[in-house]
Amino acid sequence: MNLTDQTWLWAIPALPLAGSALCGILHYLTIKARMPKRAHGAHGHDDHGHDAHGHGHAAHADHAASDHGAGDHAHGGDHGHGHAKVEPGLSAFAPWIAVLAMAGAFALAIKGFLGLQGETHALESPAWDWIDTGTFRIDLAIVLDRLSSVMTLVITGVGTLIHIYAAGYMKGDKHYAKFFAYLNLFVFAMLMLVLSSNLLGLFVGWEGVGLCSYFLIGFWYEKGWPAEAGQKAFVMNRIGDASFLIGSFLLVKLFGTLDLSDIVAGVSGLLGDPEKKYELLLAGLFLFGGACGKSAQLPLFTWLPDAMAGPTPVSALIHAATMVTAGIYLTVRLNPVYAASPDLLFFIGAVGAVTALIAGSTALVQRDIKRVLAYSTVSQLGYMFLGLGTGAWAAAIFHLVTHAFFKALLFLGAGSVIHGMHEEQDMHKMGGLKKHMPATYFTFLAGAAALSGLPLLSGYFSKDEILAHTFAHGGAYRILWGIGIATAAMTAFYTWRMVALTFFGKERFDPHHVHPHESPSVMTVPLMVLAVLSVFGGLLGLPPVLGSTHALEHWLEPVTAAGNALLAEHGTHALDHGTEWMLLGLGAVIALVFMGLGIRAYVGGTARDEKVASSAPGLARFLQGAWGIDAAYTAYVVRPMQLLFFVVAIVIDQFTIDGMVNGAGAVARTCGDRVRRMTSGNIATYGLWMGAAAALIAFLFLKRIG
Amino acid sequence: MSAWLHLFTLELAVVAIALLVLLWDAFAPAAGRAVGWTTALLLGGVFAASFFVDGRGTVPHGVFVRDEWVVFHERLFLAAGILGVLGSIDWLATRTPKRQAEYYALLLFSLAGMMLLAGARDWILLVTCFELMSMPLYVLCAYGKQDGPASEPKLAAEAGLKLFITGAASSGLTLFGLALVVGMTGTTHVGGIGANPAPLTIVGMLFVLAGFGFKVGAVPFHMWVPDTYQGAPTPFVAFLSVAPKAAGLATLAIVLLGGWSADSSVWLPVLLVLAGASMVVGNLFALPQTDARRLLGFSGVAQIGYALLALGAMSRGGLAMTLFFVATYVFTNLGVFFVLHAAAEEGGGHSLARIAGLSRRSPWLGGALLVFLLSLAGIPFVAGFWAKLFVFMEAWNAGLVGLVVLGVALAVIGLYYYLTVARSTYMADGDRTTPVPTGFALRAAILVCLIFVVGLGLWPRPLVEAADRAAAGIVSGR
Amino acid sequence: MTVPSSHLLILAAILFSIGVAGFFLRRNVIVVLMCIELMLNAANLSFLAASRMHSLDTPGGRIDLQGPIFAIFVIVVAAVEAAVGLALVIALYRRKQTVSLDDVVDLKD
Repeated sequence: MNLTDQTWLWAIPALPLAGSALCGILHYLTIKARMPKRAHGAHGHDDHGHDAHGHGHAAHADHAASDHGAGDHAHGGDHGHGHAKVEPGLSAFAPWIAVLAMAGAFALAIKGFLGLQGETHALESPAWDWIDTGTFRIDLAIVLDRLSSVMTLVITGVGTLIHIYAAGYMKGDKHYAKFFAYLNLFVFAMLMLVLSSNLLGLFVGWEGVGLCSYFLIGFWYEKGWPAEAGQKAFVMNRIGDASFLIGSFLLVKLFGTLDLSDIVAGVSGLLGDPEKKYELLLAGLFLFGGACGKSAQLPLFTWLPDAMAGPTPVSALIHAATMVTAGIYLTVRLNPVYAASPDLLFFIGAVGAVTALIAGSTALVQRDIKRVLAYSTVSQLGYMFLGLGTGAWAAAIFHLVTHAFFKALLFLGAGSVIHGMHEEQDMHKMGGLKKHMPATYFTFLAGAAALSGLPLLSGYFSKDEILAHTFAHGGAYRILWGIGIATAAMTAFYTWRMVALTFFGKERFDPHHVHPHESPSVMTVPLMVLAVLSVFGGLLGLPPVLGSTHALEHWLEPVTAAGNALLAEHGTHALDHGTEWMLLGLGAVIALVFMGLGIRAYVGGTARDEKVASSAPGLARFLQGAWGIDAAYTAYVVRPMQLLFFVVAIVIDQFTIDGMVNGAGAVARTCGDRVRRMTSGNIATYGLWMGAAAALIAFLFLKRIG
Repeated sequence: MSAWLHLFTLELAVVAIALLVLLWDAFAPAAGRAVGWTTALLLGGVFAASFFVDGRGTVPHGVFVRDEWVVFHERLFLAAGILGVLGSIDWLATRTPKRQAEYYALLLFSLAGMMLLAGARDWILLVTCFELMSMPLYVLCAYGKQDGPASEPKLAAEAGLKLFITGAASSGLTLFGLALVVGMTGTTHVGGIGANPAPLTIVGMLFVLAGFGFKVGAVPFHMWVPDTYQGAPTPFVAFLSVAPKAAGLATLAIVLLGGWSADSSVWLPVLLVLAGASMVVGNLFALPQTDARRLLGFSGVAQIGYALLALGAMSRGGLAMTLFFVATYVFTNLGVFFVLHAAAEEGGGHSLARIAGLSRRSPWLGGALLVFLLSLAGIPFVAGFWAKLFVFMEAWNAGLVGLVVLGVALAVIGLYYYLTVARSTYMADGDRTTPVPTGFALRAAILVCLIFVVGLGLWPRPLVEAADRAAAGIVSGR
Repeated sequence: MTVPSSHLLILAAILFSIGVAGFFLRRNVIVVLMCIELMLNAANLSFLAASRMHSLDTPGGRIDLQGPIFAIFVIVVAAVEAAVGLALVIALYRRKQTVSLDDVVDLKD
């Protein structure tokens, strides 16, 4: 049952948009006030100046209260914060505006959630004639159904917490207001992605989040490499976007409509026609390519670790909790398209499992705390795709939600550590921080426990459900299950390695120069809220074997019904209670055992890492470089192609590999040298080229007519 | 005669302004910025008048038709002209204060040629307007102070000569082709080719198409584009890179979709080859470039490829989206070149290294440049996103699947090199730290471009509707 | 005895080819300009030849004026082109002391 005419739904995305605009204005005014004053333009500036001073002192006092003196500025400079003192001026109001916009959107999301109880499956705003020329018509509505309601709650809820945290984390940054303008704009784009009634609105959001991600990764562009990382992330995302666009063109051609609900409803009617079924498979494949780009799956995952160049709240919000889950959302949204083809489902599951394994093993050897979390995110996204590959839509969304809680928590905790350690990210230079940062420590523990799948925590149930579904499918899915179990073991190991290196053992930094300090409460309170969610989030989807109903699965029933009906045609897979108990027990044992191993190996310090690096340098390098995927692409794909077709090589290099975005310049330049001879600057040469080309065209032309 | 003279009100007004500027210069030379501002304001008046002057109709024998199509193009060219004048005011007043009037007058004559071109339905008028548009451009391309800094005038002269030689040769090609076409069909009306033309007519049309290919800078006739963009004065390149191309595409639409739609199977493959080749060559050659203007030259070649792709859809929707694409391209590219001009005006050229640190020196200019580049790359919230999306959509609907896939893939490469330009303005390597000095007129021009690019990105509907109405003048029905 | 119009058309094609060949092969800007003029005049000749064909060679045909009128316009275009072209050559010579296209190669990658 649908309820239309819910105009207020527009306010959900509109609030962050307005917040973004206001923060942008504040940023402009702040910059303006900081400009060197000109002789004639001085009036009115004095007020601003004093105002700004007041805030500046307040901010500075806050900061200094908790710590240290000399080290502070070093870290400010590191941040790219500019030098000694930056007066926040009007930009001090930006976090208030941004957080209020987010809280408002969250409140509306709750209102929508409450309105969706019972028989109401979707709320729909009146359609807006976005474009209507008579021959060309696009109208757009905001649809809050069961699925988008879950996504909206996560985006606005976790988003609000991260905004609050960022108010503390980014304090003192030269572009304080700009940060919140981008962050709110991102939330707007993300909400458009999940709330749009049609593919076009979804695509706007899809590309929009990529744009905001680019801005935010490159936020500290003055350091140089964040700008590069942002460019790489954007271009790799765009490869996925290209695939997405082609997939959606195919869908529109098949169904003759842009409307998502019409597409979903129309799938079963197409399956009688083998040709259309094939086109549907193709569309699903291309859309999955788009999901691979956005959700960092093989082979397009290498941008995500580099995206850690952005400020940590960005990593938490965009590169853990929301944007990277867009691919999962898309797949669940169009679930009948995928359910129609078991082969495609298996392919998705395989890509997810392999990505999970590669990224999980890579996380084992990373030293940068944010890179561990980044590879962990890739790995957990792989789990979600594995779940989708079994047709367990609700399980994937369940893991998406719990992952949003605990991974956001871990990123924010890592940010707190980095903040307290004066921008140090290398875990080898940490250790023993639990007594310096108790609040961060305890919340981080909760997140780590959830990620590693310790029994009864949120990650335990959600991960286990995916693995149980995979196991139940039997056949080749058992291999994927094996990979999943192995990855679970790695997950527990690297998570507790991270905890041990960071918080346990002796301090491996010079206490005379580095004074770790707890973060202000504006940062620790969001951590605590997320910690509670990480611990109890599992309640959303307790397995039936524990005697309760899977709340989330039941909730999503109206969205997944179409896909489930198609899946049922290929047979159902259910586990008996005994097997289910066994799998739950296996998961618990693995998590506990590898947690113990991880802590034992690293509680004493970094000796184990050094031992691995010296005894098996090849393996260490192999894992360090994410299984040498970049290198493999270069050696086995790019080089041979280069020899044959240099133009193709440019394209492949652009499209497939990681080194590409950085290496492409070099490759293109070598190729450019070859083609440069064609543009020698001499008109006569140009003339000959054009003459030859014109002759060719004439030939085509005349062949055509006779 | 007065029965149809009112159809040319706007064109006559533009010519009158040109004459006024020349007279002004004759009686009171070296008038500072007044000449430029007067020209811009008068042109603005003409632009405003285009909303009130209701002159729709046809000149006897259908030589000239003024309909929605023409009105759309008149406004587009006037907008480009106003911005082109605004962007040049500061530069002219400081660099060649004594010779400003000729610049404006030439630009206005060219503008009049373009405006007339859109309505021409007769080969004689079409060719004459085309030459009226082109001739002043050759001169303006070489415009520069002879004792200016170092290599600048030399490069401008070279750019002008290259543009002239290729342009004149392409005119020769067009005219010889037309001689065959007119000779075979016995009529000078554009729509006179009809179905099943004689082979010699087709050969003639091939020549004509090649000639127009030169003007829009489609591959393989694109060689002059990067050279000219690199050498000619930047404020002029801004104008050159948009208005004549829009005019060239309009001519192609008039000739192919309006005049010769009966035998589209003959010319469509050629058009699609030009479109595909332009996309591939433009995008791939733009990659290794280190001079910002040269890079934008190849990028312009690629953009023309996208526009031709939508033209190849051969539908009213496709033509409408070509117009939408071109209109957004006008504002975006003008903006890019104006920002580059501002950044390079202190001397030192336009290499990517020279514009480094721009966003630090002038955050406003850096931000504007980023917005324009994103629009060229087709990213949401700015106009270029809709332009690219609509173009691909219409081409896909017309069944050009292969070319759409190619275009979508190449757009990824496009994003890469546009971001490379953006990144170089972000990097802190620049050796200057003071804000970039920009004149008021230049800033105003950039601001107007910015408003249009962002505004159309958020609310594309008015332009889509206008383009759709305009397209109905050439392709009727769906 | 009259010359068949087709001969005139062939002559025009030959003139045009000479113009094109010269345009591609010659290095002196002035010669290249002359070649472009040759191309335009070839166009004029074929306009007139075609017009003659319509008027005389067709029995009972009416006098066709479109060709000659077009030719007049082309002559005007050619005149303007020559003026602009020579002005550009002079500008180039003043700045670079050369009129050879081989020396005009500063703009390249």
